[in-house]
Amino acid sequence: MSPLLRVRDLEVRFGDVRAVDGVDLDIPDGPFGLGLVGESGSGKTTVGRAVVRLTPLAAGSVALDGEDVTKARGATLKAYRRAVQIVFQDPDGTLDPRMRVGAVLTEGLLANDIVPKSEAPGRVTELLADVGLDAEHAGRLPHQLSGGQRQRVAIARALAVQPRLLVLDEPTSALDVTVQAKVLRLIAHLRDDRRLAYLLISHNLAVVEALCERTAVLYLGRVVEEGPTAELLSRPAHPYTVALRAAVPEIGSWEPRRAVTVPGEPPDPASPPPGCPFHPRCPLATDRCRTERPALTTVEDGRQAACHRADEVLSGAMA
Amino acid sequence: MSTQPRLAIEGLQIRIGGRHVVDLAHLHVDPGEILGLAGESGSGKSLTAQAVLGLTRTIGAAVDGSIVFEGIELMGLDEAAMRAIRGRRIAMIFQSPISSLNPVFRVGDVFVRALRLHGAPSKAEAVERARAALREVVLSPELLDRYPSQLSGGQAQRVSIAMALALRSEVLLADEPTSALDVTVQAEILDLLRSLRDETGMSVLFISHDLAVIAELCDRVAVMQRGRIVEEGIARNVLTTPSEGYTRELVASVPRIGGAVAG
Repeated sequence: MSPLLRVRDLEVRFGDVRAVDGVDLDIPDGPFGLGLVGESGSGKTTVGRAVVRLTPLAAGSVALDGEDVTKARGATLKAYRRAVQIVFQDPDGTLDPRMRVGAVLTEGLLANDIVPKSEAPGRVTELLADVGLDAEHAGRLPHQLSGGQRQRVAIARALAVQPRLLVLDEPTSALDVTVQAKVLRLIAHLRDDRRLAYLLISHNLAVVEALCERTAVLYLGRVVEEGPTAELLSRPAHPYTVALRAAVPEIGSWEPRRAVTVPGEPPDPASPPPGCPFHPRCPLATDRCRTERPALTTVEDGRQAACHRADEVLSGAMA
Repeated sequence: MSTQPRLAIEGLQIRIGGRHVVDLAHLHVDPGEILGLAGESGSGKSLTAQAVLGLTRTIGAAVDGSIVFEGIELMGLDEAAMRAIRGRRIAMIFQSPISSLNPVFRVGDVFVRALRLHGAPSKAEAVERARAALREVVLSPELLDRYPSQLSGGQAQRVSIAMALALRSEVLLADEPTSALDVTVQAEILDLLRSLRDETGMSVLFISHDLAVIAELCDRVAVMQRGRIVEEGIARNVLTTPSEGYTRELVASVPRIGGAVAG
């Protein structure tokens, strides 16, 4: 049986830069969350945009329910975009400042024939309730709402068309921490309530851990590790995952920081280093790593990593 | 031996358009101390730092109270005297390090000019100090020839910190200096701030919405809400056993690895 979403060998180029360079992803039917983590420039946002066909693919394929939509146009593309919705980091950039909340939600409902016009106001009220807003918010303009409320409207708009998959691109990164916690709870609730599947793009490992069964770690446009989130974070197989995990500040780790932070910053994707793209920052790099690029291979049941020394990392070589 | 605080704020009131946005009874930073100022958007934490440098008047705010730095009352200080302190004895770094550097000048031009303004005897001496400061923050002195747009966020933040270092600033006001950076880069900047404090005895007022970052870096923390400090104390005590409801809510909201989102 094919998964809900299947991405194969996804490649996106900006000029000569391979922003996404051969990414595979599988998302089964909901409730399910796949996390996509990585630093700025890793290509995670580009993957999300390519999945919803906002950014053209240079190569590779995207399939929903086994049906290839890579070249879909017209009615097929419209149906795909209804099935796969995206929520962006900054709701201000995606909500028309002159459109009242009710009109924003009604537009999606009617354009996709979700309900007859007479039933639209009732459905708007339901959608607002689903995301924890009151019916009276329908009459508000975006600037009359807080940042958290605007992000709830963006989520309600995505839900209005009854999508099967959501792409959530840093949905809480622009929000205050108490507001972020509420929006995360909302996503967790909707996931169970509506049996939602989603691709959650985030730089925050704790956010991904709370909401995603599996996680893929992206570095320089490639997946370097993929596996069940809890295992991947508690016992990483790739040195980059170890470094990301170790760099997360925590309340309660009062001992001095473990010294496994990696030096420097990701290399320029326009001129990636030879061999393993992580080798210039990797404390375990050998001559082989400097010349031969490791492929993403199974390192344990259900876990993949692209590292020549993954076995050693799994047995704690970086600890 | 009693130590005078390096910076002491008493009864600071900031009003903008008749609205009371900051009402801060007391806040001080000791020599060589890193004080965290925590709070959400609009809590008044950035305005407090701007008031220290006399920058709030540029936005038409009415400011009252007392801000004493090394025995000097900064409130009502004339602009010439303030200029000798601002950017030199008290330096400030911002969330967006690239946009806080003038884009049309090379890093070295800005750096050397600041050092000349604040007492470097010659251009050659200023260049030498700038190069040494960059080495101290683990950057290549060659970055002096670059434009700000040619730096990564982490490099630009290091350049800003190097400037404070070269000017031998006694207080660093750091306003969300790592919020726009990746976690691996953030970890390096936090290490750098800690080691600078250890080596130079610089005091740091570290403003952040991120309690986990404050927990990693700061000796003490003050939590601000709607312009007031609601809780203050040793960072470890406040963040592990908060006594105020608002602090408890903030701490509980921080997503943690190994903890689940409550349903």
